[in-house]
Amino acid sequence: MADHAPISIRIDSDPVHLCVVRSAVETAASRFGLPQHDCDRLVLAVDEAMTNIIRHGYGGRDDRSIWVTLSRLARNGQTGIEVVIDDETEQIDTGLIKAKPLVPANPDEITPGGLGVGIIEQSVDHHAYQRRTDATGLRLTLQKFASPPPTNDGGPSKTSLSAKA
Amino acid sequence: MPDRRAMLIALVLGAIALLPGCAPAASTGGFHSPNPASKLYAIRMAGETRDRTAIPQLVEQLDSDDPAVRVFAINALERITNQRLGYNPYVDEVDRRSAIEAWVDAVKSNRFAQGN
Repeated sequence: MADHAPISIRIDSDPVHLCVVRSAVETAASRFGLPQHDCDRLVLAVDEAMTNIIRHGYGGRDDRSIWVTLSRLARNGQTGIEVVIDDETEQIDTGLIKAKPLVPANPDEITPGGLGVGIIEQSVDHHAYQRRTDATGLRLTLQKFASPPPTNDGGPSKTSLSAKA
Repeated sequence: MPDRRAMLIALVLGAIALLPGCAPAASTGGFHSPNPASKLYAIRMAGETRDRTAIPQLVEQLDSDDPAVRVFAINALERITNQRLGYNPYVDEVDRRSAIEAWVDAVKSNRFAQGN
């Protein structure tokens, strides 16, 4: 596939528009060679990120902007996709954005809420929050590479289990 | 009659969960937790440990309103069985229905039972 310019989308911060982004991300990731199980996880990460922006960054306002840029990646023969999500939320300390482990060492530590960042972290190969330098707001960069299909051969998984219930 | 069809599928899914011999292992006891974190933990553990006894409970989660639950459930099922049976967690409920029916049929016929 020939390289193309990144695909850019701008939507209002209304949840009704999230389906447009989900569809675009899934289609682009599939065309860039990611298998369906990777497309699912990437779409989930983007969905969680955008929901967080609308709910927490924009306080539920539906008239603000969110930009999503999709680019093809290639690394050591692996194909992948980069998703950059820009918003205009107030500047926050990106160090305060903490992921909650989906598989905690102690299952008794499982408490409701705050899963979004953990889901994002677990669903992509690389993620980074940065303050935007071109405007006020936050930039989230997600990268996902094609992975082998999940197998039932007992092989290693991406996330090792730290606890047995 | 989509309403009756949906009700029938819900009943079948409920019945599957009660099948003797398919009780969830201790590590999968959070499938019916109202806490989404606990539910996701159970789903992930089932996939990571390739727990075939959890397949009926995972199939139930394919009908969840929560997209995260649906994604993790089909990922766990694919990990255990190497199959998706045409399921896409992001198509709308009506379009997911036929794939869920295929999963329900597979469970009822013990297609993915240990050793099959």
